[in-house]
Amino acid sequence: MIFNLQRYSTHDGPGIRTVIFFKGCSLSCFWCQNPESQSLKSEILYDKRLCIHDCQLCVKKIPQIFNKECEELTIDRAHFNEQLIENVKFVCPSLAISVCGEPQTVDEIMVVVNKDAPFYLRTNGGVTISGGEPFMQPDLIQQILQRCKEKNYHTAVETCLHVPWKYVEPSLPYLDLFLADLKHTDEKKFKEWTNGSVKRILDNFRQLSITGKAITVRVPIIQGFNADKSSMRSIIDFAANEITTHEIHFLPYHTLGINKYKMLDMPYYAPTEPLNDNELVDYAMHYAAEKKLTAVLRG
Amino acid sequence: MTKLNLTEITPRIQAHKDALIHIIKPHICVERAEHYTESYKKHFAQPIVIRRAYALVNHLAKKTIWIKHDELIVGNQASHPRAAPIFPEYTVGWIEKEIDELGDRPGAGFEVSERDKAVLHDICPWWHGQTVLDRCYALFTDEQKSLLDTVMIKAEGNMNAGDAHLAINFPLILENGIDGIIAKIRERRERLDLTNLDDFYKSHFLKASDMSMVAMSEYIERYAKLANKMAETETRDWRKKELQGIADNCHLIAHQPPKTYWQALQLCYFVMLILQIESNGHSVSFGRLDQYLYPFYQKDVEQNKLITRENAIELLHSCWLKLLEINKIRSGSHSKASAGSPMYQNVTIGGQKLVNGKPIDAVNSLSLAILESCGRLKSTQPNLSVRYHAGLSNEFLDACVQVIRCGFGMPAFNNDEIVIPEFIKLGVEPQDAYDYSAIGCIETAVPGKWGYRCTGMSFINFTRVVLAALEGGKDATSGAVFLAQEKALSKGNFTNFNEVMQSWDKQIRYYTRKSIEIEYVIDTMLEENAHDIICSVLVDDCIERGKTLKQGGAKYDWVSGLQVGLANTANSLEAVKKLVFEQGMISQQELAESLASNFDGLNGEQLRQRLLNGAPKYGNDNDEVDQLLVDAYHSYIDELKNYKNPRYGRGPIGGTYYAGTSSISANVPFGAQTAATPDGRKAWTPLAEGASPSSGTDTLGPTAVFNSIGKLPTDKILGGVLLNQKLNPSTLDHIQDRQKLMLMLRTFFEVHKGWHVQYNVVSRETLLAAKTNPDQYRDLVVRVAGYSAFFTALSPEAQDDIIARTEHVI
Repeated sequence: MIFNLQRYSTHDGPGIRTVIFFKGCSLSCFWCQNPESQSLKSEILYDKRLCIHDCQLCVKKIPQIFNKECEELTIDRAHFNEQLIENVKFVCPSLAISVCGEPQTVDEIMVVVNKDAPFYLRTNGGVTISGGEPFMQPDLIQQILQRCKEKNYHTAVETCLHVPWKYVEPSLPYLDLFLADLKHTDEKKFKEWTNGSVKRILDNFRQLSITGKAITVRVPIIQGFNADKSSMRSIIDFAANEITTHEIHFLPYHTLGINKYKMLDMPYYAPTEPLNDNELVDYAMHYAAEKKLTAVLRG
Repeated sequence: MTKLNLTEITPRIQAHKDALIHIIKPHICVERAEHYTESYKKHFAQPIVIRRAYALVNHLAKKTIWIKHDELIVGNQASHPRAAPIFPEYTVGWIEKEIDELGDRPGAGFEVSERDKAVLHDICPWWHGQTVLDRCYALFTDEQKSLLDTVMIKAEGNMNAGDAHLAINFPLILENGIDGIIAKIRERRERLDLTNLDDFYKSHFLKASDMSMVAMSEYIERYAKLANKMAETETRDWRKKELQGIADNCHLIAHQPPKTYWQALQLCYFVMLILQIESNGHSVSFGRLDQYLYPFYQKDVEQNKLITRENAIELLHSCWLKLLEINKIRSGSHSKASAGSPMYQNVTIGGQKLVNGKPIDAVNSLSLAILESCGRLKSTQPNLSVRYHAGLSNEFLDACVQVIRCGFGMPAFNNDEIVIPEFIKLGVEPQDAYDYSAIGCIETAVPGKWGYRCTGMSFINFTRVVLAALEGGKDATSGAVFLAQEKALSKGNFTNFNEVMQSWDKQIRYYTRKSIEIEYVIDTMLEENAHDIICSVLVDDCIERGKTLKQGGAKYDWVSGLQVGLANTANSLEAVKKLVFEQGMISQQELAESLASNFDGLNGEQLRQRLLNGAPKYGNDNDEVDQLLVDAYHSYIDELKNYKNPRYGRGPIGGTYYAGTSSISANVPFGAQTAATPDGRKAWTPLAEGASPSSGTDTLGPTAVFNSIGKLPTDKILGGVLLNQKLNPSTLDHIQDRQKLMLMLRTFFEVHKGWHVQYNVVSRETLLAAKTNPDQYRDLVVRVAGYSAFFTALSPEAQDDIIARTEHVI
């Protein structure tokens, strides 16, 4: 199950790339900027801005899911299932209602991926598998990566590494670069904000490091979660002392994904303001450099 | 990579620029109209070509001249900076009609004094019946007039102005000087046999040429005298010296070949200027300035260090501002197709040159200086084009991207990798093909060897032809039926989509033939009534052949019309194919009614959204719709093969037509005349421009657009395949990002054989507009936070954030 194929991505690995977004994640981070990626199932997205005034097409055709009164559309998401995908997908002429996530075959995905081949080869770019957590679908990722490698594309994965190691292993021969999140090192805090286990992640980082694969560590900086010097310090220490890493990227928190929560009727628990703490960012950058890491600020 | 200096301009250049850009309503200038009328009357007995020479002689001798703004390059087109002269020999019709309201035209207003009005009202009646336009209308059939009246075909700009769209042979005049050219003309005249009919006619043109070149020389001498006189009273020592320098320059180049870089540039400017006094055709271009000016630059700047690089750039700046002073007044309707009074005076840099039969990179230190000078000035003139080729250095390409990042849309790129081989296939000699340049916008020709209008003949509104093809041949705007057919959506009698394509094929072939018919009238009336003498003298082989360009004097002569609304054509056909014939989701009559009512009411809007979102759109690398455009375009291109232009067999190599898409801003007024279309476009809104996707419908990013464009038969569209792309300035902040853009360009040009691309590095204003009308800006990519995203996919808050950020960049 994937939920997006984005061509001409230029910041998820080297060169010009196509990013394949896998649906389903083993974490549910409060600040997640792709909340539509969390569930393993197809979901309905609703963009009110595109809804046609007075239009009742969805209500007439699929009354068990849609109800619209006084221009307020309510969606009974519990009644949505895979049998209804085709109906829902085409019900709304203006695409205010759309379906996020569809099962696609490797062949179907590769047709799109191959379209930009000349751009990958010229720019040393290629394909990035993102998500969600791509390793939650170990067969799919392995097959796609293998096909990409047959074509000599550069391959990368964006992962939270919160999966059993046996899910990662089959893909290793076909991967050039890991863009792996290291969000925290503290078990309790991590559990509270992501509903996951930091131990599993740190173990996987160590395993991965042994394989000698290129790793870029990505660190989101989020107020209330890890936006403090001691958290930064311990994250950087881990990256510097326990694994061999290529680069460390800091990503100050932003709120650009909030609208998607509205489109999914999901509550938003993370801060509503972007991070505004240059001092901390400077500290992290300097400290990482001090620890001989190549530090990059993305933003 | 070298970081260019893209900010520094000298105070006098800044002051000059400020003075020009604050002229909101330029004057019109009636001097040319007065002088030409006077001479035409006085020499009425003469053949028109000689009459025109007398008129030019009279005007150049009498017109007001001035030197202002402490400028280094001198010469003025009209009595005031940016004032627009009047050219009554082409038309007086619209002038008489619009003269009293010229001040109020939105975006194209001109200041007209009471005296000017009186002069024009006095002059215009004399011209009735003998202007180019009048003579064309005398010849047009009722059908042709009706096609022009309804603007299914537009050719107004070709009748109320000269042709231009060319670059003359600058190296020729730089090497020979004006006296050298006059000697050449006289030598040719001596060989004439006046008992031979051909020679007899040639003698008229050659006499006119002689007179005109002498007039040009004397005109330049006038500036020498003026500069000397001003030097006498000038109190600032430095300026006094400059004025003396200007006087010396003018005195020399009035006769001799230039010796210095300054003189060479000054002579080039005089040529550009006089071509635009002789005629009001636009897109008069420099050709490859960095090549023919380089020996002078090399000598003065690099070898003898007579002037510094900064001096050389200041001279370029002065020249660019003088280009900005040249202006053109168009009729109200023509102004809309040329939004913002553009003159399209193109300068081409880069590319390759042939040395001992081998192509090598032609970039030199002057190429970079020109690029940098344009990046600093950020003006609309010149229109700067870079010839791309696979061997172009990363250094130079990066410099181009740095200038693109300034946000004024230049330089645009043309691609040697497609233009040169296709020119050679067409019949252009390799030496010449390697010497091509951009002309005006994106079109290309061989400077100094190619006749007028390598593009820019008549315009056909393809999208309206689609509507006619869908509705029994009836034009949805005027109700006129030019070529009746049985099948119509409203009758529901198309049995399959193939019949729709057959109907399109018939209709577009009809309009193609009619456009050529109309061009024949205009071409011949221009040939007989508005000879461009100096322009012809400076293009090979007009002197030897004793013919003007229009009579077949040029070495090469291919022309192209322009086809407008390509993306809308493809998208409309695709929507009909998919939603009406394949899915049956919309019935033929339902579609016909919705189009007729401009998608009125809730049902109309639902249907419109279905059309917009339910069928693929050109520009997303979708093979089906992209192929439909190729098929639809094929009918036009195939029909064109049947025709020869009026110079065929009269001297030039070529003499045929090819397609072209560089339809300037015609997509806006053409859209304003086009009813609702099956691609979901509402009536009277703009069409897609050039070969670009329809605004907001290319949602998969630039690589998908490149792939779509790459499917077009570019080798048959040598009038240019125009692609505009928008970029956010911050997309180019980091060197890594610029490198990615460079590599993307290289891929587009080398793998996809792209013809041209230009970048709009978008501003805050665009982002604000994008926020208000997201549908129009779906393709806008912005840098967000560690990644890029489509702007309209962001929340309003995120959009605000990015709008705020962008301000720091531009």
